Amino acid sequence: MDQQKFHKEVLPLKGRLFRLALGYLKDTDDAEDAVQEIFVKLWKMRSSLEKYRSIEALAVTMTKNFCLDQLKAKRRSEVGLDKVVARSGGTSPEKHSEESDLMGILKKILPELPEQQQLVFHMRDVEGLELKEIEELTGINYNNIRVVLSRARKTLRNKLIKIESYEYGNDSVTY
Amino acid sequence: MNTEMILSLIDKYFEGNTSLQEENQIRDFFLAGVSIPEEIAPLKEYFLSIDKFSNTLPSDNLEEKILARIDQEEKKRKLNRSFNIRMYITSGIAAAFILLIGFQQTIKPTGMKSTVEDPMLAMQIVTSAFAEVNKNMGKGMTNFQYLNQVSKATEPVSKIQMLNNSMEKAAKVHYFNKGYKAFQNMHEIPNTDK
Repeated sequence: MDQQKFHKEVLPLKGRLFRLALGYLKDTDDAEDAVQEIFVKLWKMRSSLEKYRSIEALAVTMTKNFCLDQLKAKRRSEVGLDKVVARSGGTSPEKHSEESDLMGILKKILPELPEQQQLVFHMRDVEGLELKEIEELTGINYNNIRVVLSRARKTLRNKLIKIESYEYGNDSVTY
Repeated sequence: MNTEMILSLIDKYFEGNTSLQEENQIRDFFLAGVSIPEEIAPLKEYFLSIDKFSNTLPSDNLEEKILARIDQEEKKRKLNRSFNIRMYITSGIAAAFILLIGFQQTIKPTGMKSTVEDPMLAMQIVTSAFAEVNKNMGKGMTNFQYLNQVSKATEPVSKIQMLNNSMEKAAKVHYFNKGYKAFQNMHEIPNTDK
């Protein structure tokens, strides 16, 4: 694949990959760094890219794996830091304002989903992909996608409502 | 969109059975925020947060950053490549040089160089060297004199050998006589010995 074709076919995936990385990493800068890394990797393997059935599926898988690796590394390095934060009395004001933001809440609870649910939810509800496309990209069976999606949506709904009722002291949530 | 319809769509949505179009209708309904039934009001945040997340865009210069990283990687790769080529060439030359020195050391004759320029002096040195050799060789030959003594000492042994040979011949004559006597007895040949 030449440079022109790479620019035309691979670079437009940046927005989608960015949001996917953001869903995992919760931080805009980290997500952009992840996307840059993925594009460098894709560029390095450009000569073999056309052998893949779907470059998008490849890019999504690479992004997902990269983010999971990043999270593992981050968790390992933050084990000690968490203890310090816990002792100092919770989150910073900036962090609190971010989490109270709508998207902040979703970013916070999305990574709590199982990996497969997170990916399927992201592809359908965030990226607006057809189930057939998700099947092609993830290799998950069409009917299973519906089940996974339903579970993901219900879990997110319940978590979100729980946070809302806790934050606003609203006990009258009935849905 | 009436309440019943939106409630039905929401149920369908959470079962994972809605189409993309229906999901957009639900989202638009909550985005409009007009006459949301109380029982589904808490879901407003849910759909709005998803909508906000869907429209999140990376920073404007992300593409520039990506291209800059790729460019940087390309430069690094080219640099590494040229470094590798230089290393191959340098190590090749070094290996050839080492081989050349090795061959030279192996093939080079270890001939002696003349250290004396005066021919007469050289002749004198050579003569004295030969005389030395002759002297040492004479010393070595004296050791062979002991061999003569050994030869003398073994002379009686060779005489015994000769005696043995004679005795063997005598024994043969004796056997012949015995045989002849037996023949005489058989054919009654008169004894001529008497």
